[in-house]
Amino acid sequence: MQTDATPLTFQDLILRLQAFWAAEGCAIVQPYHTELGAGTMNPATLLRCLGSEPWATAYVEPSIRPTDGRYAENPYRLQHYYQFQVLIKPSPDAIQDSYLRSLAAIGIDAAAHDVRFVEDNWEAPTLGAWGTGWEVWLDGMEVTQFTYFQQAGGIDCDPISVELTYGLERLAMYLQGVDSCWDLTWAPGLSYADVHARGEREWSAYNFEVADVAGLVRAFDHHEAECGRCLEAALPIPAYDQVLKCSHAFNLLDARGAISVTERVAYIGRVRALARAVAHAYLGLELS
Amino acid sequence: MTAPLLIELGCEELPANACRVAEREAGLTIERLLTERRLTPTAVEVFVTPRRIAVIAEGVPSEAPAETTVQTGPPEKAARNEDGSWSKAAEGFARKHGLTPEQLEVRDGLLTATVSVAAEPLATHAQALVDGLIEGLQMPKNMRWGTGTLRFSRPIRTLVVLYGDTVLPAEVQGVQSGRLTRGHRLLQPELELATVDDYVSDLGGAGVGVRTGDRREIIETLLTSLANVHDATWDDPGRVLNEVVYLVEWPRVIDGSIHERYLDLPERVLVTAMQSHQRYLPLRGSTGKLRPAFLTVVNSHPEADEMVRAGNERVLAGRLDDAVFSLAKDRARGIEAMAAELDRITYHQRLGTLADRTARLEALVAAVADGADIAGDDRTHALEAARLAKADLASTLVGEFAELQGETGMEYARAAGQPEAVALAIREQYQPDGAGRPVPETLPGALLALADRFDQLVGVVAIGERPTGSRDPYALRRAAAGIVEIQSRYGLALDLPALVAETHALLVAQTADLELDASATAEIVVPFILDRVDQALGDAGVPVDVQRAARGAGLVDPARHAALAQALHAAADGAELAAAHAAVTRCSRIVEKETPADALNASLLSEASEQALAEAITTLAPRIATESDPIAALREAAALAPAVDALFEGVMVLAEDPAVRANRVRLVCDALAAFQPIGDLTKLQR
Repeated sequence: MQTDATPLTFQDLILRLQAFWAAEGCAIVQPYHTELGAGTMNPATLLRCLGSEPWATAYVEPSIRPTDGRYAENPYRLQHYYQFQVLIKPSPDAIQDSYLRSLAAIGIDAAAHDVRFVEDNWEAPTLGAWGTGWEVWLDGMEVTQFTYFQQAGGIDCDPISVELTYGLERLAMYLQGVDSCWDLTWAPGLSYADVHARGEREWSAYNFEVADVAGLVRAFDHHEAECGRCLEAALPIPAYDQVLKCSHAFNLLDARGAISVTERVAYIGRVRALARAVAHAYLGLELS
Repeated sequence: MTAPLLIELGCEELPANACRVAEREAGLTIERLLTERRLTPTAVEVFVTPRRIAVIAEGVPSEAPAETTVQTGPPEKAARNEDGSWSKAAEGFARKHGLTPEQLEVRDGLLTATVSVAAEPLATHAQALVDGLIEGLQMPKNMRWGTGTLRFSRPIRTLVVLYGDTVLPAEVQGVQSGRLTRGHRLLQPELELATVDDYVSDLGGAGVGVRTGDRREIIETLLTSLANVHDATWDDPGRVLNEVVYLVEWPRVIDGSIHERYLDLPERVLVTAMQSHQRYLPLRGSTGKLRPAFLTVVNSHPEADEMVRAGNERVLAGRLDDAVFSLAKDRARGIEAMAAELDRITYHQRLGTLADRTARLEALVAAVADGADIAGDDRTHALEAARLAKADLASTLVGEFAELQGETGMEYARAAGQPEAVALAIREQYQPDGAGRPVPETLPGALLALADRFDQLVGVVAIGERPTGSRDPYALRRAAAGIVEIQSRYGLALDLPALVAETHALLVAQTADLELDASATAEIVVPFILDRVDQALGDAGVPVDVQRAARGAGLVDPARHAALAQALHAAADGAELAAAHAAVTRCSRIVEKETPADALNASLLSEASEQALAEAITTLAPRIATESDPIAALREAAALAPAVDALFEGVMVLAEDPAVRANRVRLVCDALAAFQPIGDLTKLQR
């Protein structure tokens, strides 16, 4: 790295991004309290992108993807990693410039690099959501997903939100010039491995070998039913938590290899139906 | 006075496919919009970069001239109702031209309206031109942004509408027109355009090559000179440059190195890791061997080269590490273990798993081979290849690099000690992957590729999906064209209805979730494949009427249909076809209007010409029908023509006695049927 200062630690990277987006008017709402596959699933994004009220937020989100676990043996594939998420509604006119300034805030001067916006449209069928945008390349490396949300929960977004998702480990590896996320400096004298390697090994073992399949099947059914009860009580936000819990139970079942192809399709359909129902209830709309 | 008109839509980074649409349509659209407004330009040029779509129309008049025209309307006699009041037709015609009926005049028996249009300055049309341009670009995927309702490929952030050196008023979703545009992000973020004439040079000075052709030329020149430094040539098998030209505004080329340890990877893996996603160009030495280096097109400042090179080298090393890891993992597992996992991978929600698909491929390979009389090693190898055809879709390597399907299966089949013919067939199942692309070079590969395409075509059609217009998400046209190409290369017999029925029966036996039954599926699939034959025939110069005539023979083997069409085309100017055509035309004129007897009654054939024709039909019809060479069949059919002519000259077919009449019509019907194996000649335009 040919930067003047010592490269940012992992925690400084998060702090700088939070400070930058807070100064841009985003509320730093913090990670959510249950397992999410991506920062997009945090209700601060997936529910708040619906409806007409302006909203701007930024937060770090631990992303839990049980099937991606590699027992801490892979340099960058993890069942628990971090995304930094920004969501602004309506999307500001100068959002690309703001994004490039956020890179400068973490020590990446766009003028000294090859920064490219390469078409990449996003789609999450289980959430009834899609958007258009780019993956942002930094010297050939994909560092951010940049998406204008067009639809969520099967509902057209209006106005349109813009979502930025930074892959924090990748960015930090680039900034610190290391080839494995385990070698990242989290804080002075403390590595990413010190913080997470043991957990990654144990969680990989749990996800792949230990998690109780029968219990997870029951948990899915329970949370699905609970979602319906919440909706009947006109409580869409608690109902959404039940969707998230269903989704995580499904991911764990998948990691345990407990889902056949036909079951898989059925499970995804069930989650999609719940997400649609919750999105409509959140906006007070009838399900068509 | 005339001057050049510039309209530039300044966008956030446009996808390459949207750029191609703009390149193709923007000029035509503006030319049409101007011409409709009596502002016809002398020339139009389009400029597309990732961040702009611009059109310059040369020689645009500053105003549409005043004009008086006379429009003609309904006839005078339709002008008034019986009570003398103006008719609806007259009122409507007057209203259309902004007049009252009293202002209409009568000329040559017609109502006419004299319409005067005042001169209109170009500026009053600026908004309509901008709106029309945006509407006229049919982008592959549109989006909305902010609080607006406009849909376009990507957000529009600046708008330039400049006529000579004057800004014309217009706006797009809150963005007002002006002379401010954007240069290269790093070199000159903004600049003001003084006049249209300086557009190309001003943007060039701001680090933007606005002509795609120029950018392409620069890229190719720079690639070649940097390749020379490596004593190598650059290669672009994946044609990534078609996209790269729309990813850069100021193209430069840098090189990067590949660590020696990766050079043991199979060449296709290396090249794919470079080309897919990253869009790098591999380098080859004089022997064609890959060099441990790559070239990449960048959009950055030269001072950043070291940093950019190091970054790209790391990215490629990461991808190659993935490939090394995947290969090792796959090799430890082996292709048989992968094949055993196919029951866990969905092919299509309604068409089952890849294991289901594999079972169908095996059955279809057998059916195609049997139908084409292929036995022995070729059949055995094709069956074995079918069993393993989709195994690589369960591999880690194909998970990382989807483009390597087939290629990977071939490598893993070799590693498992499979015969080379099996390994090659696994790779060739995906050929041809487009028009003019290589077809399988081995017979087992051809059999597997045919089975693969039948399964795809029949399955997708049977679940109720079929291509409409430009939409063909399952690439069914390509699959059908592939069947035609492979068949014509190998000269195999293919009974389309039988193969469709076989595939459909397999799907039903596997309890696939189908919409259409076997016959409804065949009614779509068979003509769909024959349409591809006709398309190829058209490309080879066989006219549409000849294709249609040949289709009338009802042949269901694509190659036989093609051969018949070719024979008819070759015979177009000959006396034989002329005679047959004349005879068929005469017969069909009768048959169209008359009802024949159910069967020919020989005792009612009183005239010699009737008896002669009946005899000729008995002799010739089976020969025409069974002759496999269409040229010979045409000759036989022509031999029937004189007997037909003799009948029409010798007797009144439409006799007064109804029984005789119906019997003669029957005879004509039988004659017509005898010609049918050489096609429906009435379709020929002569």
